[in-house]
Amino acid sequence: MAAAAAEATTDGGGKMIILISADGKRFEVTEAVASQSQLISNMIEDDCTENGVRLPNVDGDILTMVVDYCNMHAGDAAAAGDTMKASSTEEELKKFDAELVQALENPVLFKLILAANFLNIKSLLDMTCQRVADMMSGKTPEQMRETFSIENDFTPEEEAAIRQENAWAFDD
Amino acid sequence: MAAAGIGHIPSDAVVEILVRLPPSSRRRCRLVCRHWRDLVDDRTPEMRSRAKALVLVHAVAHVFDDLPEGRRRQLLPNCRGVDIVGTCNGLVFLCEWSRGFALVNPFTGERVDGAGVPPPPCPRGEEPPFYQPTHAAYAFGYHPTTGRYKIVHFPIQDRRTETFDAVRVLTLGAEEDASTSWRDVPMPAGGSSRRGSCGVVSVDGSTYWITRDTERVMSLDLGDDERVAAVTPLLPARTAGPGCTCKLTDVRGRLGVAVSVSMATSTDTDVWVLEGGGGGGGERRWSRRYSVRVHGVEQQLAWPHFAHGEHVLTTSTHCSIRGFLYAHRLSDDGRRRLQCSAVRINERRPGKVVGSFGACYRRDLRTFAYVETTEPVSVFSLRG
Repeated sequence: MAAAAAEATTDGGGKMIILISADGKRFEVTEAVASQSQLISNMIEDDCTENGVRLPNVDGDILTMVVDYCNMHAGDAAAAGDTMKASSTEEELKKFDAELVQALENPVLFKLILAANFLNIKSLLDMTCQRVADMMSGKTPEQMRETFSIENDFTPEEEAAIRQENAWAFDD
Repeated sequence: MAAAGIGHIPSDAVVEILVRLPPSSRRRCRLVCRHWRDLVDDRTPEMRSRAKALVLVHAVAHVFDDLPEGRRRQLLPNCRGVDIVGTCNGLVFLCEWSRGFALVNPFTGERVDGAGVPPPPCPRGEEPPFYQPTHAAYAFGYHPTTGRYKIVHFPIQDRRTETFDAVRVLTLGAEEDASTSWRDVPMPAGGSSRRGSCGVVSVDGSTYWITRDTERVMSLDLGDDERVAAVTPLLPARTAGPGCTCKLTDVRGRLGVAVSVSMATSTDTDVWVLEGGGGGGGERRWSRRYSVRVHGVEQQLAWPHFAHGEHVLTTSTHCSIRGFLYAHRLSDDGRRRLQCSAVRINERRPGKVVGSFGACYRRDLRTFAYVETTEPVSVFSLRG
């Protein structure tokens, strides 16, 4: 998919930007694709993308997914009249998004959230957080702790008090 | 490439996840750890929503947005002939005379009809509205850790002894694969009985009722392991005898039992709250939290929810012309935990009239806790 992504950028027009992952993988993307990340968009405005953009807390595997995602979504983000090869119909996009998040295992999903948060890509953050929220909604607190490797730091008394607060009791 | 748990995700991203959860799940996340509890409390509006008083009178539901001001509005304008079984997390489980049972979120307008909920027990020749109100045979509860909603149905029982061998429980499915069907939950050996006039209350993951002899409270655990047990310790006060009545109530998310003794011109009611236990550690005990003396005026505690924030609600006992709802403000001391609030109601201190309604019997006027939430209803099926 990384190769396909690189291909798409060659005839996309506009300036190219190099993204460099934590493990040194390089991704060449157009400004239009990259600027879906608010972080990179700001860097483009500040003219500091000359020597490539180093992303020290995003692994190559994760960045591959992010670049794929941005390529798929460049169509709706690009300025009007900019016909891009990668631009897709809405249905295709939905299908792509659904397949992307459904397939992910927890650790990868969390890393993708981290990357979306760091790069500040709102639509990707929305989608991945919604996926986690959907996973959580039917779980008990104990199951949530297990899923997310969180330690319970409450005393039993505190837990009982919180349950009571949660009951929308008539209190303030 | 250490395994990334959610603990490594910045708080901002956790907040992004939390705000996408339905309200009851978001509250459940407060039980996961301190960090999550603080995020829900500080970074989402969740804990700012406060419960309001819902008053059902003449089969019409009214909500009071800010007690003790008398402003009220009709809550379910499209429902006709409403009887409310219970409210939970902003959801109302109700029965309409014409359309039967439904689970409704009045705030979002979502509604699921409950065609599969069995009709109330009704002896031959007696129509349900005249025999006993629908709500008396059902309970609507929520289990705070599993996040499950359940409907409890008390089956036809021997009218003379009020005994039965099992109750029926419907778990509302939050997931597609969850089986939503009625299950019989057997009573402990020897069966159980229920005094209908004492009411049914669902709080903190259990449904409670009082046995016919008014000696003990029974509890049905609404968790995955549904079972019935007698609550220990026994009821704290004498509950039988001339002029003596007892009723269950929900006091700020805890089980309460109100024991009243009526004399010629006054009624004394002590409300005891079950403290401790329930996984919270500490020994379970009844502690007296309200002492209400009504003297020389025709008022009685509102039911099933009389404790509303810093107010105690009462209703007029004789409502042949008009029925009134009164609010009595607790003294500041009474707001402290573990203290007993004394409420004196008499001609000098009749309380503030917050609502007046057409003629009704006291038992036609019932009060509940209601909160406006976006808690989803559509995920549930009530087919059974």
